Amino acid sequence: MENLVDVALIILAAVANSGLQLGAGTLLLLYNESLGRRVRKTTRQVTRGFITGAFLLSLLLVSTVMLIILLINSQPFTLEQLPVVAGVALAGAVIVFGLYFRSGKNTMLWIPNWMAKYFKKRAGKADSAAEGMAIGMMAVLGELPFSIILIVIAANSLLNLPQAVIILAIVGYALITVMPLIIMKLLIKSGSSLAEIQRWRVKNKTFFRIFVGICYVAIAVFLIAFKILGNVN
Amino acid sequence: MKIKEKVKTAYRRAEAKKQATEKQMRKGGKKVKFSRKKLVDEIMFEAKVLGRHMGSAMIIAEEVADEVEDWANKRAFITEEDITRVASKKLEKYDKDLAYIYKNRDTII
Repeated sequence: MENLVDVALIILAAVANSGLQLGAGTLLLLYNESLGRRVRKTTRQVTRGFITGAFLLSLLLVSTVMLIILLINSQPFTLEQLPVVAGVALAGAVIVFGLYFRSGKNTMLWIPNWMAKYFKKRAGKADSAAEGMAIGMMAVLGELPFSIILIVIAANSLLNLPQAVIILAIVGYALITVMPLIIMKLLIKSGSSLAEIQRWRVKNKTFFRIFVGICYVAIAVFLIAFKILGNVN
Repeated sequence: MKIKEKVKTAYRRAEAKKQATEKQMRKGGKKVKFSRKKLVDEIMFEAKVLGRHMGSAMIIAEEVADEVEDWANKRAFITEEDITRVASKKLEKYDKDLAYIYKNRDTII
């Protein structure tokens, strides 16, 4: 039962992380900037690099946070620390509900204008898989103010799993977080236009906001119900 | 006294108008000079993104540029946002996807 709760927390954190839109938006931007300037083969390489970069950094981040927790605590979070984590997750839910998307019929995010411009500039200049990879990593880093709590919760739950499955679970976590990017790439490969995908994103903007917000709340409730209240007695 | 009042009212109106123009310019971006070549290049860029045939895309871009140029010539000043708004509206007649992606090229993230 204990492991089941941890697995559920890891999956929920990964799903919430995959619902955050900076990665998907940047990939779409990369397609837009690259297809207009370069041949399709280069675009394919750049976007493949982007997804690989996002995947690798997700792996590294969650592993690093696991190490940091172990270094500081020598064990997963204690009963006194978990309420703080649950509280931050709830605060994250409130911020996602209220601040994540800017208003208007677009998918503009909370990020400052200079950052959006920088992503656009880099996306326009990228012409190799390595540059795509760097942009993918930057997108993951740019999302950190929202995703760090999810990574911390996933890392803590990963530490509770049996050692034999930890690596598999880390890879699974990173794979789930980049799944929307892989799906988007497959959709574009199978002939969907950027306009269709962007229209869909704009149309479902509120859904994303609510979905990710609910995931944050669910994670906090899981933590409180199973990890805090469940272990009090 | 009456003349003084009238002058004051006229001054206040002029100030309000100036502030409204400044506010509009802040909201809508900087005053720009219409560049036909830039508009055609931007439309061609987005047409390439969508994989449109370059020949037909060029015809559409030229048509739209003509219409936007006519519109711009009638205005005292225009902003970048005005050009995007009008050009995407004109583009919609020819290609809705192209118009959409052109209009939203700066609002993806």
